[in-house]
Amino acid sequence: MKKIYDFFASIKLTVVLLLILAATSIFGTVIPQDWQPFQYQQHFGDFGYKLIRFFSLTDMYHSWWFQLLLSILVVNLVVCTLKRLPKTMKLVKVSSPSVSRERIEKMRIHRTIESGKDLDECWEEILDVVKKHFPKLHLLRQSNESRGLVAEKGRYSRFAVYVVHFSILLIFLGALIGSFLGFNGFMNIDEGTDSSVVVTFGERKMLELPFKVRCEKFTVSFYDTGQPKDYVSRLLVIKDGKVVKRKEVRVNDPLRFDGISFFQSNYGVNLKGAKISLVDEKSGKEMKLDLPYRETVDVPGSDYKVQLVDFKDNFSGFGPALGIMIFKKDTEPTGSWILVNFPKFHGNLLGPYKVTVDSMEKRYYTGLQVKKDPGVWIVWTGCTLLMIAIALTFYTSHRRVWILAEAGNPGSAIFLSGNCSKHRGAFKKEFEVFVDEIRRKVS
Amino acid sequence: MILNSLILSITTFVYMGAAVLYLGSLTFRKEILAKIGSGVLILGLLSHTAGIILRWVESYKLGIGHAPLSNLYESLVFGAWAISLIYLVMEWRTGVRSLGVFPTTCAFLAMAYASFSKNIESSIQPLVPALKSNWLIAHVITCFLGYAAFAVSCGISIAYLVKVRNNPGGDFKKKTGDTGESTRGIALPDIHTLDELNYQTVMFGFLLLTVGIITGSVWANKAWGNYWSWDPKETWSLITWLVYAALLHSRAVRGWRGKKIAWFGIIGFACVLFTYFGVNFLLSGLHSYATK
Ligand code: HEM
Repeated sequence: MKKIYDFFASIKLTVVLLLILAATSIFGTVIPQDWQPFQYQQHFGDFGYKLIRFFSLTDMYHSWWFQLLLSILVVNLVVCTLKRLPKTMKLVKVSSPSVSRERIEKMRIHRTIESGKDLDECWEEILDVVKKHFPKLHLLRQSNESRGLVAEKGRYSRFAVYVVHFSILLIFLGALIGSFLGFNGFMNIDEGTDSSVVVTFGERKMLELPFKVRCEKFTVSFYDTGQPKDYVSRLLVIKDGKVVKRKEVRVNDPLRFDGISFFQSNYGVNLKGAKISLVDEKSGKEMKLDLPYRETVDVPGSDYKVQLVDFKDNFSGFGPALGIMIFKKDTEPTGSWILVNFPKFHGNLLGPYKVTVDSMEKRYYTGLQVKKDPGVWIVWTGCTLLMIAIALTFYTSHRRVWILAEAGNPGSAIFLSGNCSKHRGAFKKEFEVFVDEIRRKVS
Repeated sequence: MILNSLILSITTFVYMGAAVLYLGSLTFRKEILAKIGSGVLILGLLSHTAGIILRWVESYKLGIGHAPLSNLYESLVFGAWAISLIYLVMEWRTGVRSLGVFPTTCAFLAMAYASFSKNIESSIQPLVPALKSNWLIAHVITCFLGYAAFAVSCGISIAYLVKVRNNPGGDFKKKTGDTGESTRGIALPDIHTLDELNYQTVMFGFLLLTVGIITGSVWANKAWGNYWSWDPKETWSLITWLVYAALLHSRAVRGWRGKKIAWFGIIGFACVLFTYFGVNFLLSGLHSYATK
């Protein structure tokens, strides 16, 4: 037990862990994390891929061993804190209750001042100066022969480093909560339509939101150079049939609703509908049809129905093509790809009809990244604390002075010493200034 | 060539002059050369600042106004500016003029690479939507101030190792009052001063890198909805952060001083360089916009 405790209480472990984490993190930056298995095989060979699989390097930051390293780090941090916190408490609470010449002279930073003034007068002056420099002051021994004090400032700076470590734990906690209780996915919404289905990244699960998101309008603008300037989606949130929120979403400015955020992430063009002509091969009769995308339309004067179900920008090198299904009660639906730019193509057939495409109407769809992360506020709290606490750890310190004044014959002798938790060089200078000020006052 | 690029190219040569002067002062052990070097460096920093401000103004005149921190050229220029600034502040605060060679050389190389490499587009480009963010500006500024501090620390680390090699007194020993001033070495500060300066610079760099990583993740969260996605650039900045965290722990708690810390400082800066160049040129990721 003791051995285990000591293992986790050691800072050597911390340094080693930090370095191991740094070194192993390199793998994930060199080996792509989002490839398909065959890509790894092509690139790294069969054996390489086996190795990569064995060490879970295809998703190494979520692999068991990386998470284990992080867990050990957390335990290490907690145990170190438990071990050191009581000592720090002691250092902060009990300022040395007594002061003596021997103790002062034993300390690394100490000075002596001889004064012609008597003890009472000196002491008044000393108290004035000390109060100016140190907010907290304890009087120690007060007699006619000698007086002592300890004064200090910045004692809470000793806790700053604990706050640093605590905020790291907070960040881990927030990340854990986010990964268990949140999700991350995307939804594509055609202009003028709505949707409530989110497909998650990775596992590709479908999630149904308790409200609908409607994209009224999507616009993309370009600079003269042709680089994209801005993507904007005008979004509505519709809950129980009512519009409860509107927002123009752009990159860097998401829509937030009900703990879920919608980020502008990409866009594209989808089909809105097409006008086609059907010629009955037997009768030669021609008719025009208006097909909205993915809606079933009756073919007039027959019991056929057709639906425009799919669209390809470039079908096997023949340019755009429409995927249209045709069906009738009690028969299997059939479908085919109708080439838009080749109206005479012999394959442009749909059941008993020859098909030509007269026009197509397209519309933008907006690609939204949809994210729910209930842990994110914990992460930001941790981050804020971390920054403040690191600054305090580095740039504040606990500084103390001990002063003993003894009545001489005549005049008095003053013994001063100082001590600090950090930045001894700077403190030495500060101490000299302080001593000089007292020396001037009592001489 | 547009005026800002011209001024920035001239600044490059000013930095080269400063680097040569600092090197000369160490080689010939002439304090006066270092003093002139400081003067030249201050001039360089002034013209550098003017160049950056002018570039900012010119971008507004082109109607695509944005802070000049958006592509490889601009970040190199800002990085070099941060190095000279941080080094000059250190020189002013400590009065030590003998550590200027490395930082000025870094600033010179960064500027020369930015100004004269064929691969780097130096004209002012409009911002793509993802880069329009104040968080991004905060991110770039803090990261580069941090990187610059690490560059200065690397210089101090090298000076330390040179000093120890030339010094029969050897490495740092705890509680020796004797600092072993060398007889035939160069006029570098004693090893205790070097070690302490190194520590101070690393602390500053670590604080800024921390703020830089955090502002960067706030930005990523706003733009993509993920505060951390383990993209190579992010990961390498974390690696750098971990190395310096290890340095601070081994120093603060294990009591390591001297050579070991100096080596840490050099390895840490190597990570910085890889985060910046290696990731752009060898790995790919979200941040690859920077290579365009
Ligand atoms: C994971 C286990 C960790 C342990 C066990 C640990 C432990 C410690 C301990 C014991 C100290 C010294 C406190 C003192 O001066 O009394 C310290 C200092 C410090 N730690 Fe950690 N730490 C850990 C992780 C981290 C991490 C990840 C960071 C990153 C920010 C960090 C940042 C610091 C800083 C900035 C200091 C102050 C160093 C200085 O004074 O120069 N620690 N740590």
